[in-house]
Amino acid sequence: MYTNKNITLNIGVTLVSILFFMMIVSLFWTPYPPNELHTSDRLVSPNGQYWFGTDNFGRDILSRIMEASQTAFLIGISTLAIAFTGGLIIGGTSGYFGGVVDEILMRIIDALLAIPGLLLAIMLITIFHTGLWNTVLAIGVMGIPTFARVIRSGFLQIKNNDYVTASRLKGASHLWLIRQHILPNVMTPIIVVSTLYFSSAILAESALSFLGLGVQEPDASWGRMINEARPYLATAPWYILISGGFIIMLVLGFNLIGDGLRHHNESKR
Amino acid sequence: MKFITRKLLSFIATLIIISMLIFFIFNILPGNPALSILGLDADPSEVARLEASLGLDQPLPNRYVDWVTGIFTGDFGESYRYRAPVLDIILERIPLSMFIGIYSLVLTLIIGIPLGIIIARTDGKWYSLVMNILTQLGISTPSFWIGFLLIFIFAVMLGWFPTYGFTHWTESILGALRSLFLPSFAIAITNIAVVIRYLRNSILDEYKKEYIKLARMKGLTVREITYRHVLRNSIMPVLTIIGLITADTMVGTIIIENVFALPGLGTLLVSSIEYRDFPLIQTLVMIVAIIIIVVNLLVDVLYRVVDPRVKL
Repeated sequence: MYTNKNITLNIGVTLVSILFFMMIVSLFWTPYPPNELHTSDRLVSPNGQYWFGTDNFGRDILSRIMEASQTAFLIGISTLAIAFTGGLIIGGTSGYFGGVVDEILMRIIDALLAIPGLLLAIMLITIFHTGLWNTVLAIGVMGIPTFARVIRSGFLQIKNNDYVTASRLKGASHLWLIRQHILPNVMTPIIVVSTLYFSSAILAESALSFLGLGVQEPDASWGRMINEARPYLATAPWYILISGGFIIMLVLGFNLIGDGLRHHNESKR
Repeated sequence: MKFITRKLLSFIATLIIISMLIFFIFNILPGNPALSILGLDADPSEVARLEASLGLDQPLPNRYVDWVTGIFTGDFGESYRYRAPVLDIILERIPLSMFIGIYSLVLTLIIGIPLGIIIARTDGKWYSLVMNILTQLGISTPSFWIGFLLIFIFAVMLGWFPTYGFTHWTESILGALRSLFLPSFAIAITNIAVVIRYLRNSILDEYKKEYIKLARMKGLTVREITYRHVLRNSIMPVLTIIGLITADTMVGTIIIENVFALPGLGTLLVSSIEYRDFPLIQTLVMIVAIIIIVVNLLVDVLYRVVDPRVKL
């Protein structure tokens, strides 16, 4: 059956695939070198030569957009790795062992959840300083509480099943049980959370970079481009509009995938 | 009563844990504030003197206790950057941020709730698909970009609103509402999309219940059912996301103040980071966290008062 949710999912996958393809292409080719200055062509509006126009230094905006897509995917994937690993360690320990450990860890996680993610990231940036990898670290840590919560509740549900107990009686070790029986069963909610987290990580990165607290020159980032474009809002509006348009496309893509997957899972049950 | 006591106890526990987390994150991790104020090649004796005057030579637990007791007595310490009490600096800037935040919350509710109801009334395959994607678009758009878009359309092109700067509400309330409309609306858009999605789902779920069929059989019109039964039951759950919306609004305010160059807490926070003004930053984070847990507590209690069926 071809339902709305499939359409949503397809639109999401299409958007992300287009941008992913653009990112791969940019590894090998961009119309111009992203940092090449065309000093006679500053703030040129979009035309046949520069599809998205040029910025205040005369750099080709399309080339920089393409270059920045690498940062976006890099941020998404590496923060996901940090958030997932952290969440697995904390949420797994908490859900698997339960009791006092669970009580203490979940108290801390709940307290962390009361600090809005972006504010937590800003707090960590204050300590680590700005830059690409510090941004990755800050945004990764920002996601740990959410993953810990989801993984914990998954573990709680699965660990009391008879087959887990049986396996335990046969002498299976904790780690083996977790890897063999529990993790595969909690993967579905984790995948949904991951796609949604991917989009909030990219939003967070663009906000941090826009505020001047995230990715710094010479690394390209869509959020940073908006920051650079702001003095030219009246004279070169396309610069800001296009940079933001790409953030929206990628974030929307992942949100639609997450939404589609969630409904897909619900209807399967 | 037992419920209130338990909620209050857990509220206090959360507060203590948050204050510890914030304090220790700022004070255990590397980075010597005295060094970053004076510069890396400062004279060691001067560093020591500055550390003593900032109280940094005390052991950590003592400093934590000092900070926490300070919070209750209104003494948040001294800002490294301004060399003035943190409380004074924050008090000077908090009214503007509160104004924008509350303005944006009000806009969210007065636009989001009616729109959610209207959108839920009409249902259909293509219609819900378009609505789903439109609201997802609202959620996916960064507020700062919306801010620039609004400036471009309404201030630069149409000239309806001032580009930067604002009229203070002591001068004219209407002037303040007008000049702060764009920033508040920019923050509200994402939240409006969230409210619409939530309310629409909640209303559609309610329509599927058995009593609706009964009411139809009794001869009530869809309109009567909607306003008499469905709305009452489905607006309630929206209460539960007020905490979430408040958090988003506060983060949005921090960012949007930087777009419109408004002298509130957001611009203060962002400009303080470069100076590594820990006392100021940790107090700001603490204030935001306190507001969020207070709002969540109020929502919990309120929810129970409004709907006595809920047993928490």
